[in-house]
Amino acid sequence: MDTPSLGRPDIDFKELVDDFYAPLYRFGYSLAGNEYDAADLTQQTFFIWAKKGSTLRDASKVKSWLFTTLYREFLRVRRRSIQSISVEPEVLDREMPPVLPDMVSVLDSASAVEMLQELDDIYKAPIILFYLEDLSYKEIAAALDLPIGTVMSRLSRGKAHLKNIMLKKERNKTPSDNSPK
Amino acid sequence: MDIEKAKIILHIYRADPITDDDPEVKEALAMAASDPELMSWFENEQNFDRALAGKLCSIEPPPDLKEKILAEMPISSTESGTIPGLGADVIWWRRPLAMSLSAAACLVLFLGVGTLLLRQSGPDRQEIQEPQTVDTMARYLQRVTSHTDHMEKFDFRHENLAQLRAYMNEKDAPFPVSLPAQLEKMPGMGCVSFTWEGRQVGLVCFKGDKVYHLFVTERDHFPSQKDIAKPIIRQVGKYGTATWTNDLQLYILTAEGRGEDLRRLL
Repeated sequence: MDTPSLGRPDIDFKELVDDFYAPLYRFGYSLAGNEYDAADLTQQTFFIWAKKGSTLRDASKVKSWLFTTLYREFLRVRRRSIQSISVEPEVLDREMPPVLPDMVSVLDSASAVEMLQELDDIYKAPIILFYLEDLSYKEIAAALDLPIGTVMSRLSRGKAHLKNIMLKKERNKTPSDNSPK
Repeated sequence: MDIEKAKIILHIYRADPITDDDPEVKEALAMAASDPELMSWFENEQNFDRALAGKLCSIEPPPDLKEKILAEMPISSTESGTIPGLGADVIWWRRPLAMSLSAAACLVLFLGVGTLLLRQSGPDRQEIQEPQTVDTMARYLQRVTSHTDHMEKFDFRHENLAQLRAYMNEKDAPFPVSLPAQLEKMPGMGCVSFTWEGRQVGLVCFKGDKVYHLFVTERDHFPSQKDIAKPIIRQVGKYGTATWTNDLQLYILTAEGRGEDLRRLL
């Protein structure tokens, strides 16, 4: 069945939804930390596409456009909290914390998302997009409207922060948390 | 390049046109290939990344999300409404910030007015009556209503109706010219105004045995609608609604519960 031409007439809306609703939802869920906001952000993104997608000149950039739009919607909803993070933290751990793949493997998705919520917002979106693996570095930069160098820098710092968060949680675990179940 | 520099480069490495073409990345990879300790560190990094990526990529959207997106998509670009301050391009019924006040509003406007009034208001409204769209929206709104704080997004909060009226008058926003006696006895909670399909709508909430939402808009917005002197009671999911008009305004009262329960207020 043909679907209405929402957005660009050369892009089938239903196919677009088929292709991107899941990755966009994952992005929204990882940013917002809950399923309701994630679904809302995803729906809103497609709605904005329906209204404004026709203004996108380069059809090959539709993926970045959708991620950008979702991210902007997230920022708009979270404007107040974002305003409080206007300055990129200067003091960061210079030493990279040890990697802990085993610690990650015992997490479930919800716990991983919970830890992402503890990241400074400035690092959160690049890190999430990096781990969702839907976008290249260049597309992440385009989606977040950042220079590629800034993206790389934020990824590096963000990952270090994330590992610190995990280490801190690990240290705070009670002995019984670590016992076999 | 020393090992520390190589680690910084490889810390966030993944196969990508940008990294693969970068001479420094190539050098760092080559260094790792010839340094077992660095390689071990690098493999740990990659394992960490793979593990975390796996967790995020295993997040599954709700099974009905795709259908909702398709079902709720406007047929034309004119179906959205706005609440001032949220931006003209926002579907206000979907926004968490506005949901608290919009849930019942949409429910009534789309289901109450949608079926009562829009049927007669021209071909551009017909899509809203599509049962699937209406049903989907109703379910969605009912779901979000249970997750939002009604008090958060009023334009103005006050218990005193005179204060609420003064505020809305000052904003030139619709406020009931007359209220059912039982409703008038209840303390107010707050008010907000917004536009829906180009029509300005006022909402006043009352705190009685439960929360009652009264929507009001100008009667002239619905010129083809016949007068409704005796309120029409409807049941829309878990909401009861009552719709009526006078010479100046159209009213829709809604609250959770049985529609018939609203009769005692009217």
